[in-house]
Amino acid sequence: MATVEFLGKLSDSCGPVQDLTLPQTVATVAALRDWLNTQFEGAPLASVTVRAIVNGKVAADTQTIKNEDTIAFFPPVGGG
Amino acid sequence: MMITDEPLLPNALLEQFGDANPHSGAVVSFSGNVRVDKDNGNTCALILEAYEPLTTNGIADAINTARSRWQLDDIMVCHRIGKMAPSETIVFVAAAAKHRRDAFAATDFLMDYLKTDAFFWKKEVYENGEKWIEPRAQDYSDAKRWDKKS
Repeated sequence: MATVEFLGKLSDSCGPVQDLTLPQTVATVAALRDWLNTQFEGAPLASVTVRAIVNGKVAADTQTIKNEDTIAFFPPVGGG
Repeated sequence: MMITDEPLLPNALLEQFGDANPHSGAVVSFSGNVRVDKDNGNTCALILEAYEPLTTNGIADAINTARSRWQLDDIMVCHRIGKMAPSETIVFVAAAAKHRRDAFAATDFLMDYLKTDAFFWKKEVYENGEKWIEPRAQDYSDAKRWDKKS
């Protein structure tokens, strides 16, 4: 089971935290984005401004993921 | 460096920083406070989220960058997280140096980092709703001033 966290404004529509069993087809950050968009209606995860953190490190969309990972999606940081 | 959900007292922090650096010729500090934004109805609160260890590690990297770019005796960065009320201090940054320009530049650089690149997310709560805040174009162009030209 993977822990998926939704930071900042993403928590309003998806989170803040979901424990999810990833299907075998979901093996990269990009595939997780697509899958989550089918799981959470209106999830704004497709935006290029939304980036991912895998196990505490900022990760590219090509990064592989597995069921025991902690993955966080985050919108632009800072402001105010 | 300190990230805390307790109130920040900028006068006390500045005194502490000055006492720790009695031989510095220049001490510059900046305090950022929760403002009242009347365009959206009065701001009732600001909520700030961090994501550790990225938030702390990112600020530590920015402090190291400042130390490598300017001649500094000391740096202090204190940042609030959690829920805070109007006029409370969100962030306090101070730099001590032999000369003032290094202290001004390092403080300005660190504030631009904290506004555009630090792992914080901010939500303003108003009398009539709430809104997540993102950097403005001006914040990004301010931060780009520090890009190395080499």
